[in-house]
This record gives sequence, structure tokens and C-alpha cells, in this order.
Amino acid sequence: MKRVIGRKSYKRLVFIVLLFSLMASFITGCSSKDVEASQAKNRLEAILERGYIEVVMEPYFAPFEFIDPSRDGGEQIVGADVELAKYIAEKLGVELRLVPLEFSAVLSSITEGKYDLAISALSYTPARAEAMNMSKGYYFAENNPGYGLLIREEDKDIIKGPADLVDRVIVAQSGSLQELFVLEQVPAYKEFKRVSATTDGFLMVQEGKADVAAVSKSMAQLYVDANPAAGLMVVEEFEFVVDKSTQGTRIGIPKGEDELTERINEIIDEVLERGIYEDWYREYTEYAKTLGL
Amino acid sequence: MVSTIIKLWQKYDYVYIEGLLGTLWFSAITVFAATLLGTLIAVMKLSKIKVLDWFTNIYIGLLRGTPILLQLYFFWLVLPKALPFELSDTASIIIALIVNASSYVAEVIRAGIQAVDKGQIEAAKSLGMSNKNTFRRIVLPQAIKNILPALGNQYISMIKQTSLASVFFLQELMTSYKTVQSATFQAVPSLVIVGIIYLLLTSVLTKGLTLFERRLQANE
Repeated sequence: MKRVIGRKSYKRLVFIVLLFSLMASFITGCSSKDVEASQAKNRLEAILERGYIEVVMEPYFAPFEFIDPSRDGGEQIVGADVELAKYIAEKLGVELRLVPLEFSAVLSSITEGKYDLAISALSYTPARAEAMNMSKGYYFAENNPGYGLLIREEDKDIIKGPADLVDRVIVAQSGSLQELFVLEQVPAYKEFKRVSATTDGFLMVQEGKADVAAVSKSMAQLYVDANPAAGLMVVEEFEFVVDKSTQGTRIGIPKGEDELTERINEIIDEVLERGIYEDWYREYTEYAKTLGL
Repeated sequence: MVSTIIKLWQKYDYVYIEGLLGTLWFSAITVFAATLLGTLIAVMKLSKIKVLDWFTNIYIGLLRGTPILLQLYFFWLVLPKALPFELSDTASIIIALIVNASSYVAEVIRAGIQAVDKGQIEAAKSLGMSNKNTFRRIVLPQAIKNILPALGNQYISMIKQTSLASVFFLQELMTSYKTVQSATFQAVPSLVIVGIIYLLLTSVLTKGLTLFERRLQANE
């Protein structure tokens, strides 16, 4: 086939390609200049200057953040974390832009500095603290259920805690605190499976693909209540031990943005002082219950 | 189960319909742009010029040799940084889908053209036809018959691949599934609904393709 197309048209094609690459090099040249210009300031100043803050979250984690499909596009994501995001944006005097993503994408978008904040019920883990700045804790599960185990009702009398999991399959959300708990606090298990969304883990237990899911107890209870036919239950008596120093749900901030972290911590202090997060949490727990069928 | 599916549809039908429209929209853009870009790449690959050949080999090799999800993440993270103007997440993902699909389209077109028997070209030449005429009147009509059915299959898999955009929360069918699932905690019924919509969509297209192929064969 090589002989079929005329020489002339190829000269033209080469010209076009050269033009294209010239344009490309011009474009990249420009952009590197832009990056230098924006690197001169820190992210907090950049946010204030551009007039909006971009907050990422995985909206499948009621009551922290979840979707109410009956609302309009921009208002669909609701939850206690959304209220916190609104509060922060208001305090900074900027517009709030929510960006919903899958959990692994939430984490990578912050470590890559693509977005400003991750407010997605993030707990402290050493790996996260290494890859990003983490704010102070803004929510402490002291008076509320923490992290535990979700099982099938038939295992009610057999599985009482992590010691009973020797020949069982465990599932937890990849990159989550629950994953860390399983690795550190479950002495022995048959297999450990990881999923991208917590709700997929619930399903696996329900369908018998796993025996136990390491979960946030309050979220799992919402699922159990919404699906009475699923035959699932949360192990009442058991809770994973949370290290005091690393306790609390936090905000993820791109690495090295200390000015922004400081400002966010100030705002969190205010929220804690007024105790409003607890109110949001209660409000949206009730809200989430109304959404089921 | 069936009653749950019906209830779910009654309550959240608009979410699924929005998702369907999104899927159709992303597929249409991807199919259209990938066909154009893929044709260009195929022409470059068939050229005599060494540099173009290298370039297209690397292009196709990279895109076919890495998973599409990896490419989506890569474009999503890198493209907005590399470009001087603001590029939305949606645009980055669509570009990634187009670029990925273009490599497959290019291979389909290249293979279709090269599958035309050499004897046909030699015969045309011996009759004194010019290069241009040989390509336009002898090679292209036969190549198109090779290309179109394969291209149709490619389009169907492109439609299914747009579902990967749900990782980045683009409005399409798999995102509808996740949206309803997260609100109601009903996963399997929601999956069934989305599955049925996909099946309807692809079977209509497959049927259309079969009819089209039959028409192509009619003048043989």
C-alpha cells in the first residue's frame, strides 16, 4: 500500500505534523511559565485569589457524604462533610466547588495536588500523613459508634470479634483506616480482600463472597436497616481500638501547604468549639434514613 | 427482587435516563472523534516516511499496551497540568477515551487496507491507472468492506468503555448505578437495571450493524 499514496500529499502531511509539534512545544513552553508563576505563592493565597476552593470527596459514605438523587445536579451531594466544606468556604470567603470521585481518586488527587482539600471522612493513617498534610481531627467517634465488623446473621453466635476470623474471608475498603485495622488488629484470617467502595464490601458479605467486612459501624447500620432482607448485622460488642494520638476524622491537604493547613486547623477549632459538626452528623444520619425505598 | 427493581425504577428512573443520555453523548463524541483521529493515524502508519512510521508504532503500542483505566488516570492527572488553559475533568476523560479508541480504529483501518489483495493493485497499475485512481477506485471500496464491520464492533466496545468514566464521576450509566446504590443501599437491583439498559443499547446497535453488513454483502 505504501506506493499508492502520492508524494506530494506526504510533503503536505509532514508540514502539518511539523506545525503541530511546533505548536505543542509552544504550548508546553507557555504552561511551564504559568506553573512557575503560580508556584511563587502558596495554595491558600491562590485559593483566595481565584475566588473558589475545590473540595474532593467520595460521595458513597453516609452520613458523611452521600447523594440525594432527587436534588438538582450541583446540590445532589449532601452530608455532614458537605456542611463542613460549606463552612470552610464561607470562612475563607470563597465559592465552594465540590468534586465527587472514587475513593482512590480522592486520595491521589490530593497527593498530586490536583485539588485543594479532601473532606471525605478521612482518618489518620501513617501512609496518608506521609503523602499529604492532614488537618486536626474534626470528628471524634467517642460518643458514636466507631469501627467494627459486619457479618451475616447466621454467624451471630460464631463471630464475636477478630479472634474468631481464623478461617474467614475479610473485606475492607482499599486505602482506608479499616484496612489498617484488619492488618494490625486481626490476629489471623484466611484471606483479606480489598474493594474500592465500602458498599461493595457489604455486598460481598451479603452474597457470601466474604464473611466479614471491616466497617464504620454507623454506616454499616444504615445499610443493615435499609436492607432487612439481606440478613446482615453489625457485631454489637466489638469495636476496633483507635490510637488516641491518631484519632479523629481529618481533612487531607496537598503536601507542604502549611499555610492552608494552619488556616483549616483554625476553622476546625471553631467548629469543635461550637460543637456544630455533631449536629450535622445527627441531622444527616436521619436524612440518609429517608432515602431508602 | 423484581418488585425492588420496579420500585427502584419508579423512584429513580430519571437518574438512569440522565445516565443513559450521558453514555450516549460520550459515546457519540468518542466514536466520531476517534474515527477521525484513527484514520489520520492509519494514514500516517501506511506512509513511506520513516519518522511517521516510528511515531505511529509508539502511539499505537503505548495505547494498546496499557490498560484504559491507567490511561484515564494519567490523562486526568497530567493533561490539565501540561496544558496552558483550564481543562475540566470531563474534557480530560473524554480526550483519554478518544485517544485510546483512536489507536484501535487506526489498526482496524490499516489492517482493512492492507488486506486488499496485492494483485488488485498490480492489475490496476498494469492497466495504466494512476496511484491516486488505484487507491480511490480499487483499494478503498474493497478496504471499506473489510473495515466497516470491524469498526462497528469497535464502536460497541467504546460504548461499554465509557463506563470507566464513572471512576471520575462523569454523568453516565455506571455513575447512575452508583448514585442510586449509595442513596438506597440497593446494589444488585440497581445493577440489573443498568445492565438491561446497556443490553438494549448494544443489541439495537448490533442489529443495525448486522443489517448494514448484509447490505454490504448484497452487491457481491
